[in-house]
Amino acid sequence: MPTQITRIVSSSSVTQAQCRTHAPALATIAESLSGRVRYLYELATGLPAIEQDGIATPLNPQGRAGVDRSGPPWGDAFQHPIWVWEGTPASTAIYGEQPIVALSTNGNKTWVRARMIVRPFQQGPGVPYSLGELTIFGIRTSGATNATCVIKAYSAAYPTDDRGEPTPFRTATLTMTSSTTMNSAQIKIPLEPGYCARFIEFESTSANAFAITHMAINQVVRRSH
Amino acid sequence: MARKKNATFVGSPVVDVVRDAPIMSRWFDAAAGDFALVFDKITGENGHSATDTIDHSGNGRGCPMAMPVASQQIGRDLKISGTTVTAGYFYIVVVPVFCPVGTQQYVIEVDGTRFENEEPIIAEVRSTAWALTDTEVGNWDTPRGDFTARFFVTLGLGWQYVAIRKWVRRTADDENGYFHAWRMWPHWPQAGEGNGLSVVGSGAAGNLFASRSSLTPAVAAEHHIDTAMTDRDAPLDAWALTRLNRMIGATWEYLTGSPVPGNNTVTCTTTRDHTRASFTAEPLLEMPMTSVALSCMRVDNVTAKSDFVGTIGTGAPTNGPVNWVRYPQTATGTIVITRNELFFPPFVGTAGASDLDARVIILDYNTGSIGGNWQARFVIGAATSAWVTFVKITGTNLYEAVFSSLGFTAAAANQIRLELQNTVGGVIAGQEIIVLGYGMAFDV
Repeated sequence: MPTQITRIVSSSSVTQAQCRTHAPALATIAESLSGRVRYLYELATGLPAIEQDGIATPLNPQGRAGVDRSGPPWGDAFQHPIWVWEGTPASTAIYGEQPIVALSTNGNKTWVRARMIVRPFQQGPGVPYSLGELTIFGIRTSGATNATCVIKAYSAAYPTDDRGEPTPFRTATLTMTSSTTMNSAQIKIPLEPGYCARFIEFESTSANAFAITHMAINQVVRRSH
Repeated sequence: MARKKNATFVGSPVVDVVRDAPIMSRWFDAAAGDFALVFDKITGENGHSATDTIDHSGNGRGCPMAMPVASQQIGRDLKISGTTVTAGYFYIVVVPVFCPVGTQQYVIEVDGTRFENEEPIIAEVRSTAWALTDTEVGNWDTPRGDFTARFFVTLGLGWQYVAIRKWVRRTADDENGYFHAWRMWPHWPQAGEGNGLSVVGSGAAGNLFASRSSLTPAVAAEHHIDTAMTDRDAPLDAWALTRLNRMIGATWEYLTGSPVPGNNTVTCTTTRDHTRASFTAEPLLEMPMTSVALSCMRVDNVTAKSDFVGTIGTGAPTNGPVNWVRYPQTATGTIVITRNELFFPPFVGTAGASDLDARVIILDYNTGSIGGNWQARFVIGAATSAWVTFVKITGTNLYEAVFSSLGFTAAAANQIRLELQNTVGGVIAGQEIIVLGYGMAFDV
């Protein structure tokens, strides 16, 4: 049997008009002002405002009490890295570097699978963690003109449409203009809380060879996309 | 005259605020005092104790943010090449890891190839002096389709090392040894599970009233609720009610990032960014940014000379799991070890202000004594750190470079470069190093 709380808690607001001079003295005003302060206290501290009452506010996406900065209404999210595949262009100075992807023939494809852990977040359209920004760095390794690569991001299941064709979330083109300086391209890709895997496909669309040196997925917004 | 503020939360009995309850000043007295307490805890304003502000360290100081430490793709072969290195335990991950207060239970997953009759895979947590503080044998399973080993470890507070030891075989015995990826994140108690309640947070129709359009110390000080206004027999005036209502609304938006219930949009222009731009005593936050593994090493090489073959300036290694190493092949100039792109939070990006710290760990796999000849530095966005000399971890062949107060570009993508240099400027006989990994964190 649920126990009754001993102190009021509320998230109901009252209008400014309800608080003005000559406004009727409704209990709603007292309930809202007192109750919302308790609500704020528990969201801020992550503890029950009144110990014997227990937590009287919602649990956050982690399953804990209080704002955990995982995006509204659980506080502004922080930008931070979610997934990395580090590297640097091949060099005689460092042994052990390998390109993530190296393609040299127009029309050739390859793909990698990004496996990551995403913070628990309240799911919904446009919320901070719903889209991660995938940034891909590449460098031309042969030829005198631009090397180009079409990059497609897929879900973990590598989905296909009714005709059996893969259907990417998003597509971007990476144009690599130099053999000494890297270029980059970005794609926003949908993310899910917890374990999340995404296929990233690379297709060479030029005759010049190139290498993908490093990639990262970052959480890049605080309130909404 | 004094600002009304409660020392601890008081609240109002339900019977004081329901319909037909007598109008007494005590509910307003409690609400005004409780609000001031919450406001000061969140903002650090009005001389509130710095040890009682909301810094997300748990125990009443805010829910831990519980940021993941790493999700790194490796994509390297672990086969042992050549003839001089035998099968054995290798650390396939050695990284510095930062653990903030309130988040000490972590999950680690390693995706790789598992073999029949393989020796156990083990996670180790080691102090900065390389003393073992926690260890767990992993459990191989296939929850993601490939073999994944999972560990639950307990970290100490602050910086330490996490190492994963795996049995690695020679090419002739093991043609498919592979290390796909690894991940490390805090244990989330019941991720995705609520308690049936939901915070009203966005898009609700009504637009009942606006919160304050800004929330600054000046506004807070100017419009505080005075103790005289909450006295028994004091008139319950509209000014005080309106002020408290608006301040609660503004603080709701500041804390949650959401409109006040009933509003369609956020109207409070001051965001909780921990830059101390609006609130000079706002608590700074600790959180790990990333930990990146760069190489493997044979476990016994922590103290013994390696049988990796390769000499700086003279060639590539030919023996050992040489597909998963990074070591300098030149002893002159600046050597770019690796690059990355990290998006940084809105904390103050000036060196020192938000205290971005980092550590790099390397192995001297030949002599165990590189002295002060090697240095590392970070280039983070537009900021280049000073060179930091590697210091030996006593009793080991491991060296670490410790960085503090690094500069970065706040709320933006930062290109990261880890660079090494040899201060001697030429080949030093017997000096061969492997760069094992680095970690970055906000450590206030």
